[in-house]
Amino acid sequence: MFEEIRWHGRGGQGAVTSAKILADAAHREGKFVQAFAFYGAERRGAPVETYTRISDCHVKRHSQIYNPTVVAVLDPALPKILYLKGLSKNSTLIVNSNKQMEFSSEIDCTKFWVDATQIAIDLKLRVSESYITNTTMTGAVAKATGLVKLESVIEALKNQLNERIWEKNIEAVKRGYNETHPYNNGGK
Amino acid sequence: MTVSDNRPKSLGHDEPKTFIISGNHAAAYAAKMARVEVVAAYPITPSTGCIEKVSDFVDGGTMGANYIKVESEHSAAAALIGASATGARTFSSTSAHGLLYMAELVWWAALARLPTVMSIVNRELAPAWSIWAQTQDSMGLRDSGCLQYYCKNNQEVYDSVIMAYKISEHEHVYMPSLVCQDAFILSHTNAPVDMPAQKDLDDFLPAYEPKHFKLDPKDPVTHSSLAYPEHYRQKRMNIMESTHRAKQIIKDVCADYKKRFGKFHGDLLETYGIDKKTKHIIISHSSIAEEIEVSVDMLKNKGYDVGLIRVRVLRPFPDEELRELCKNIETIHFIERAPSYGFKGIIAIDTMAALFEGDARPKAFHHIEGLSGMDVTAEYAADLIEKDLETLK
Repeated sequence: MFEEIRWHGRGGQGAVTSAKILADAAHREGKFVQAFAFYGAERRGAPVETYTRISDCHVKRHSQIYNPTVVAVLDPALPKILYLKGLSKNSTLIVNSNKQMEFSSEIDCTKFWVDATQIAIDLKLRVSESYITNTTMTGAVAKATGLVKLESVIEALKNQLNERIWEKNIEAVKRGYNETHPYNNGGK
Repeated sequence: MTVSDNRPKSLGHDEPKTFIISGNHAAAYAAKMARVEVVAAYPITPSTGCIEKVSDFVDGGTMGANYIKVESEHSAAAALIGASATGARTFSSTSAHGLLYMAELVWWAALARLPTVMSIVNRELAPAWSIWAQTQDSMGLRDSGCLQYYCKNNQEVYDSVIMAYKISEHEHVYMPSLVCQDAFILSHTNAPVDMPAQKDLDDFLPAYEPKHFKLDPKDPVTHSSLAYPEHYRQKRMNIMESTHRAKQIIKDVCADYKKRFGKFHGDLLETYGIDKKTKHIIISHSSIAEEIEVSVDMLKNKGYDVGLIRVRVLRPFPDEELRELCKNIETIHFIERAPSYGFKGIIAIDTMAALFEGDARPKAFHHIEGLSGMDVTAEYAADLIEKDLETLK
């Protein structure tokens, strides 16, 4: 097993934390992991990429992820060109969207959608002007890929986040897990 | 408790644990568990995370060090020098311009034979402004006498900081150590780091007790008075001897650490995929080298007879070890993040000087790669080597 997960969000949405929670969850299940980001001039709202690697053995690679097995998109308004790069037909794409977002037929990977923004609105997961979808998307990735168990994500979340925000975010993870839908055409 | 009560506390490590943490935090945990007594630091990206974590430990009461707030890196190094001279175990962390600003005092610490340890996050220098990885900041201090370790992953950062104290404080060494990691690629990447139980670490790393002298008002000695050339020369030749002697001490300490905790990242250098018949050797360093291990596997699968040497310790330099490993090879391929402007890569320069004292004259290929943290992917590095080898046909 060697999985490369690329997260796409905007500065302030918590994509770094998504990458860490998933890595922490996989580590709880005995996997070797890595979670990192490309750091530049950190600006709220600017597109950001973060990365999680999950492997059966020690991860030797330190470069960014160019050919992801999984892509998770935290913000539906990100330009598609940013997150579709490097996807193959064996990849899984999970988009925060309120409907089955349309992609050109060349994007023939397995696709899922989850309305993470609505979940954030319902749970009042908001920091300044941003709705926070990062924890919801970790639940969505767990469901769509089966890489980690829901319970592991919740335990990892508790390890990564301050106790005062556990409750809402655990609810977000559970809803993300339960409300992730495959695309109608069998996910393709 | 086996530790005398006057050592600074380090709470929370009764059992071995694994944390998924950044390279910065790995260094901070190591400083805490080494029962460092004095920390002085000034924040600079990307090493800030390390001293922030140390400051959290101290503030939260789990680390008993004295944390001295200073107004600059220059002052941070000065505080470490004063504290270390009194016999305290000292720690700091910095990067790039921060390290260059303290450079005068890094030399001072070395020439005063003070075994302080610093976690260095290797970062580019400006202009143009860059916060990403490159190793010139610490390699520029190559000749200072500091022992320099270049780590390939977060586990090695943790282990190397601990071992650096044992090596630097050895009575036949007494030199400072710089434990270096790549900006962001390690400093901000979260990966599992295994840590032993505190009591086992305490057995490995006892309190620092200087055997030569201490700065002590009750037993006054003069430091840094004028030395006439014959005395000055003797002091510097002693440093030459001590740093050479450190090679064996590094090997011994790494072997002991491996025996106790099962962690080994090579001593002076680490090899990958090399046997007595290997004809083509890649030489690299830091995190790039770990990714190149993947390249070596790829190239071997394609039928190429290649192996990798990672120079883990730049000073003292593993000259004899390199001569031995390279004596029958045909080509040597340097992939490094550290140019010496006007000549070649810094590790290439030192390696070729080392080989000149032997008979081997492999053909050398030089690649300066990964500047400003640019990705050197396994595929890219494999491609470089393949192209080098094609020129031989």
